[in-house]
Amino acid sequence: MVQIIVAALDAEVRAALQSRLEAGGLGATGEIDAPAALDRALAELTEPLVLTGVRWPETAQFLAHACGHAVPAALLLADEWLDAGHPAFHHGAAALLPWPIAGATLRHALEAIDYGLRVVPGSAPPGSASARPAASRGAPPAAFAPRSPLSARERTLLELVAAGLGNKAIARKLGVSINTVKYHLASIFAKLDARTRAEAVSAAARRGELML
Amino acid sequence: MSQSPLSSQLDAERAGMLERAAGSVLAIETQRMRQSAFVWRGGLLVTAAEPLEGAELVRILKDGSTSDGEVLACDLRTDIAVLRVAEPPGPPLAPATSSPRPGQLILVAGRARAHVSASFGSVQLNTGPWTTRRGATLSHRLLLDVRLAPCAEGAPVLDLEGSVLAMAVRGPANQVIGIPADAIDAAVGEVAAHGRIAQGYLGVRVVPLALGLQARHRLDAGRAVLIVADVAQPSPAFDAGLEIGDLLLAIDGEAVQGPDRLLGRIQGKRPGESMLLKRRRGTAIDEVPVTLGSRP
Repeated sequence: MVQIIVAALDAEVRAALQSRLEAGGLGATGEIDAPAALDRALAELTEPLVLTGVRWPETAQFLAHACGHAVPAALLLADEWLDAGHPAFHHGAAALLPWPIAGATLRHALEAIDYGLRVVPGSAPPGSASARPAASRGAPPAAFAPRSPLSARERTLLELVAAGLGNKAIARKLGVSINTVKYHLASIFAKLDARTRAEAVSAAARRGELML
Repeated sequence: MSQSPLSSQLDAERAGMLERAAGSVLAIETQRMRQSAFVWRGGLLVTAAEPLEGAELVRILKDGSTSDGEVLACDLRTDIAVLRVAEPPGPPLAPATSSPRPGQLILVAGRARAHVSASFGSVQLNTGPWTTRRGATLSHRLLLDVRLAPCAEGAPVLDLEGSVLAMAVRGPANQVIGIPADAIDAAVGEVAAHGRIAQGYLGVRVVPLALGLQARHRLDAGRAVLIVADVAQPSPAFDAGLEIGDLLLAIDGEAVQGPDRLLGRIQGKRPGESMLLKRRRGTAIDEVPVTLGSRP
């Protein structure tokens, strides 16, 4: 069974999350009060799941750590609008759940995550912006783990592009042929929907795929 | 009706000026593009960086002869590329001594193969320091009211004395933008001294989070925060103690806009320069000074 880590900045929130778990007949393996502590905890556990709440974007700090360890994170959010268009979902959350929540609902959701599913409330299809407030429309769907992520090689190559190197210099630096560089570049451009090198660099920066 | 003596005199002066300047303007081409370049101090050539698209060798055409030019530096932020040729084809053009004024008449002197391609226009807008889309900070934002022939991208923008005010490049929405002469001079100076244009490096990957009104108030942040998604090791960010999950709220006292802007802020600085990051970790907010390095 998964090991549930309750992570929240606020002690009251942690206690509330714990009580919801207990109401659902579950228990937490540990409690975490700071993003850095989560990092250490995740490194030790075999099959962890992070439960965090109840405000966005403070919870994003925990979400980032969970994504960094490829650990699923369930967010319980007191936001007015929760659907597949919520940024937390784009940023890799395994589940977005409304706060407050019934114990049984929480249990079902966590079981679904355990099956490898992602859980979103509401009826809006993924990517739909219909239920989103006007203020958040047009927010870029960047993610900790973008849908068609660049490979490690492509990232390295794009960083050299960002540094202003030409194809030949990049080929020399990576020890590959110039055709290989061109091939990778074409793939990068396609993934980032870019037509020029400068566009590719900006797009990668926006998607969180470029070391700045 | 005959031309008045004054206007014909002005016309002759303009033609003479163009003729002198055109000796230092060349057509360059790769397989993909044709544009203009011009001679700057030290005999180095300057042109627009973006259309080069990573080319390292360009053909240089002048007066029917062809030679090769080597791309020494290609700065996508400022859109300035610096080239070296075996033999400078003409004397360096001189930068203008005064700042361009709105309404000032300008002449863009491009070259299409053997022919000079001149466009006459004016400075439409000149505002103070400007951070470009790509993040470079330039001394002026120069918008030019002039038709830019396809071959004239990268051409010098001359005042009526024949001094260089800027380099003409194409901006978004068909705007013609002038990259100011001081930025060109700085780029060429740096290439001459170091062989390249050094860019700062922090060593983080960040993801933008757009904030709603409530979250802005709660976090005391602007329209967005950047969440640190990865920290390179070793890197200036690692040395400064940045960690995955940290929220960046402001950079050098300016509320965060987005990763593009951070990239520009970083690359606009030189290695060794520092920046101040307002960081939130957990509930604590602090200011983190970072000394930038150069990209490994």
